[in-house]
This record gives sequence, C-alpha cells and structure tokens, in this order.
Amino acid sequence: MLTDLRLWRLQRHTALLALPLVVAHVILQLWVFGGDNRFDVVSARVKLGMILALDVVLLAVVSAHAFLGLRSMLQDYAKSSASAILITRACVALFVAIFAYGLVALTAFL
Amino acid sequence: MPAAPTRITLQVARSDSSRESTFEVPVPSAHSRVLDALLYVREHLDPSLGFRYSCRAGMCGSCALVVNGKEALACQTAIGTLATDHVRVQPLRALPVLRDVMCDMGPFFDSLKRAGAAMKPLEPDRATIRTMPPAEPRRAAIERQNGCITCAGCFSACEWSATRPGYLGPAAMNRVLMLALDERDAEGRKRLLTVAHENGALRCHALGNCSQVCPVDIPLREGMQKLKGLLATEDLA
Repeated sequence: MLTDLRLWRLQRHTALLALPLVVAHVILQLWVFGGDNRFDVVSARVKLGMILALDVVLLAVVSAHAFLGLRSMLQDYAKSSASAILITRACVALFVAIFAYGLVALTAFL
Repeated sequence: MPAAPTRITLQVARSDSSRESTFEVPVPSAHSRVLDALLYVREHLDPSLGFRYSCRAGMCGSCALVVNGKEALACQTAIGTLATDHVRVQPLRALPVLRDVMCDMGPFFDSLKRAGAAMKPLEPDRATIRTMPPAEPRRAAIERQNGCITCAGCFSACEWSATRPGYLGPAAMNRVLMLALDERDAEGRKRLLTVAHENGALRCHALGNCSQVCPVDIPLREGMQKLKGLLATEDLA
C-alpha cells in the first residue's frame, strides 16, 4: 500500500522536477550553445561538470517519470495483485536499464 | 421544462430474459416521474416487474437506476426533462441484479466498510457529536462533500467500480475525505491510508462521471482531487 503511495508521489515529484530541467535543457541547447552538436563541441561541454550533472539529473528524472507513467497506465489492466507487482517490477527494471544505458552513452563524451 | 409526451414507450431490462420488456405508459403531467411510469406498469400491466423504491422524495436513494443511459433516481427524474417519448430503464452497473432493475447493494456497502467509512468520535463519552457551526472553517472544508444518500449512482457510473472488482468507488472515498477533514473524528488523517492504494484514490482518472450523476450534486471529482492533494502532502508513514 505504501509502495503504491510512494511511487505515486514520486511520479508527481519527478513531473515537477522535469519541468524546469527540460526548460533549462532547451534554453541551453538552443540559445546558449546555439544548437552546435558536433562531437568535439558536445564533448567539451559535457566535460564541464555542471552540464554533465544537469544531463544526469535530467536523464534520471525524465526516465523515472516516464516509467512511472507507463506503470500507471499498465496498472489499469492489472487483474490481480501479482500482475500489479510484476508490472511495477518490470517498470523499475526498465528504468534502471534505460538510466544505465544513458550513463554509458554519456561516458562516450568524456 | 420541455413539453412532456402524453404517452411514452417504457423499455425495461428484465432479469429473467435477455430481451427487454416494452410498455406503453400514459404520462399525465410533465412532472410525472420515471418511478410513476414503473408503478403504472406494476399496477396495470405487469405485476412481476421488480424495482425498489421507498421515500419518493430523493432522500433514501433506493430507486437509483439507469435512465436512458445515465444513472438517476427514478423518483426525481421528470419524464418531461428527458425530451423523448422513449424511456429505457436499466439496473445500476457494477452491482449484481436481484430482479429486473433492482440490484443487490451489497458490493457498494462493502466498499464503505472496506474504506472504514464510519466515524470514530474523538469524544466517545459525549452523548451526541459536537455540532460544527456553519462559520467554522473545518465545516466549510467538508460542507460541499456532505449529504450522500448512498444511492450507488456514482458507483455505477464510475468506470473503475464497474470494471475493477475491489475498487472502492467515489462514495466511499468521499466519505473518507470528509472524515479525514473532520476534527471530531479520532482517526483523522490516518484514514487516508485506507484509500492510498491502487484500488483507491491513486487509480481514479478523474473523468468525473461520478459528479455528473450524483443526485444530490456532491462534487465528487473535486473531492477526489482534494483527497489526492492530501495524499500528496500528508505524512502517512
């Protein structure tokens, strides 16, 4: 019961967090960096600690929100507690996998 | 109110047949109710027709059913307001049918029990519960959620009650909201735990069917949003 509540709250909190993060990301990419996405340029940016930290937090927050949202939709079709638990675990596993993949992808720029 | 037809075709779901029965029923006045038409059928055309009613004043909730696809109290639905001479009456959804358009209210009252929707007085030794004056802010917070007649119309209209066994439904959660905000209740905010799960407030999609059919106009959807607000902020651990 409390797990449901915690995940539901986390979905709300990640939504609130994602909003300023996505806005900051768009502003940085389009206006501050002028949309320059050559590998060397992006690599130099990512090597700045602040941009890397922002990207990691954005990745975590958006991925968590996405998979919690997917979980919420799939739960509509859960016919039993066992299937509801399975859906939650699958979504958490997908989140961990996507987040890990994103981190590995970011290391290519370091 | 538009002019009522002088005669209607009343189509009623029957539990002993897959076909619905059709009756021609006179409508003496624009203010005649669907319940009047059902009573006419039982008295003049088919004494076996099963339906439930009691107060005929919209207070007891006994005569809730589905009229032309929408939950309503038969005793409060004037035929003139339906703007048609074809009236289809079906039993409430999400509840087992006992006979024709009369349902077993058991699952609905079970939802109230599961939600623990009964007050536990903070001062059990008092002879009566303290009256909350109208100007009291606490009362203002719950006033609009008050007055449920437990007709189960919202339970029938809610897409989750009708399809997800175990879902608490709008009436039970509205009651929990009222009690959680009522300072005379000993359980207080702890009550929110009874709805903080996937068969409770977290599953509500806020479509608002419950508010649309409530015969006493309780803003159930808004109440659910208020409930979610409490769940988001209160420390329930």
